[in-house]
Amino acid sequence: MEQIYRLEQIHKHFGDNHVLRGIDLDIRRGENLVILGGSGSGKSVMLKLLVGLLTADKGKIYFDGNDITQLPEKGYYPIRTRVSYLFQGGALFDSMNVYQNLAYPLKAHTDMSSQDILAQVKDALKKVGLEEIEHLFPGSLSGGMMKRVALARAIINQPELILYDEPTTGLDPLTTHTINELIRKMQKDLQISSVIVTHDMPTVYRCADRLAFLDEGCMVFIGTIEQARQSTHPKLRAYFQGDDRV
Amino acid sequence: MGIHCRYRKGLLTCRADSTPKYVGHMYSRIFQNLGQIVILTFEFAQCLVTRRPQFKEWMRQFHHIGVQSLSITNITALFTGMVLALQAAYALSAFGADVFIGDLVSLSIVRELGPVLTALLVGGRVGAGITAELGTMKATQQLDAMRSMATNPVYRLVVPRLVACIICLPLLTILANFIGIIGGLFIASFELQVDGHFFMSRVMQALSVNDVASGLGKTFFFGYFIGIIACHNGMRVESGAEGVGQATTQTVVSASIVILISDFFLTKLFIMIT
Repeated sequence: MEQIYRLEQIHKHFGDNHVLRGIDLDIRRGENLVILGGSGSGKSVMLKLLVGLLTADKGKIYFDGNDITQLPEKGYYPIRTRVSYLFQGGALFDSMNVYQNLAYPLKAHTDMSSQDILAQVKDALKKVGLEEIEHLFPGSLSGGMMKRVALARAIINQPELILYDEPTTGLDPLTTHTINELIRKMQKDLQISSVIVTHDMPTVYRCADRLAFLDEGCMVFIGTIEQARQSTHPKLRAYFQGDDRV
Repeated sequence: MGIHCRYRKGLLTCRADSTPKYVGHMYSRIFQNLGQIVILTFEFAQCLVTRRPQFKEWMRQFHHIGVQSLSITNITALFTGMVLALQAAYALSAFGADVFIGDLVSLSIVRELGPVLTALLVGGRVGAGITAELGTMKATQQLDAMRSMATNPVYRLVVPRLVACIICLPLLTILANFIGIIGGLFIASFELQVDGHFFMSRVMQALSVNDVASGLGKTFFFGYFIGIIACHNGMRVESGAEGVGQATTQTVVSASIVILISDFFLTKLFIMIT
């Protein structure tokens, strides 16, 4: 499969805290890659490096074969129009209603008319199973709805890849299931690849084509779910066996 | 910074940095902030010159920063003018010079009190509001979301707020000056039995274009200081609610001090120019 991203020996520090310690990873077009790991293992930091929200201290990041490790802020703009980011809390703009939130990337990057924007907003909301909520503000939405609106905003400009930062954290099992189904649907219907950072096993089972396991800043496993089940790494085994002694 | 505490075996032990280390740390932080403010100013200027203005957002900020500050600045100006007239009458009557109440009230308000008090009030109300808003956006990753959608938070958030601060502060000051003088006239007429026409004629004689220009000229700088400090502190919030609270306090304190210090130097500058 064709690579979108390639990470080579990525290191990232925050003061004395060495968060990422030599990460090597390929992200392939058309697949859902799930990055599993405990809290504070560096999963979200790795996602932010991919779109330049943080910069790596050492190592190289390639996007479509081009080195993007040390680009200036504006250098990341073409990448950010092709890669969407779904933040953990949704990160909807709370001074804007749902319509304005979804219209924001379209108004910023296209010359579409108001009618076309409204049609596209309605279409995106329909894809995530929400309708007639354009006038609502984020403060009046439930956690699950907020995640779905954020997902609608992420897909509205038809990205090639979506980076999901813990998409199901804090949601009840039914809403978690809905979000997982949507992630699969995005891949199947819209051919959008995904990188999903999580520590939620239902998301791993439902969404992963390939799994990477991050432990204390090191990538200790990359493979399929079947291979992960056979892994001898004690922490990874604990995730699959539900063992809390490790 | 300064004091480091550690809880160990039931004992809380605290250690203070040595004075040179503490002072060094403080100065390095001040210079770091100054550097960041200079960079933010350049980004603001670049966006202002090269990007299309978002007039709708500018209008929204004019309303927040200008219109909604009217009541607080006008009430303060009215009572400042009234107090000034009372104090002037008390001081001047000892020398039989109470005919100059209008001169003293108008010059004090137009040259100094109007601009500085308006700036301090707007700095407190608007500066704190901007920092809290941007700080909350930073803490809830809304600024990162803007960046991740290939948009520039400086263009979207800083430019409208800073432009509104720079434009609204002189306008608020003009109104505050007028209302302050009306306050003085009110006290002079009803409390001190000075003829209203005489009071106003003294005001018109006392005030020159230079007085008005020197007072208003300063407010453009005050507006810039309030806006840039508030935006900078908001966009640098590191943690959640606690960080937002600290940044908001920092904005009010820094803006007030910068206004008072810069007032001295700007006054000197305008006296030299005029």
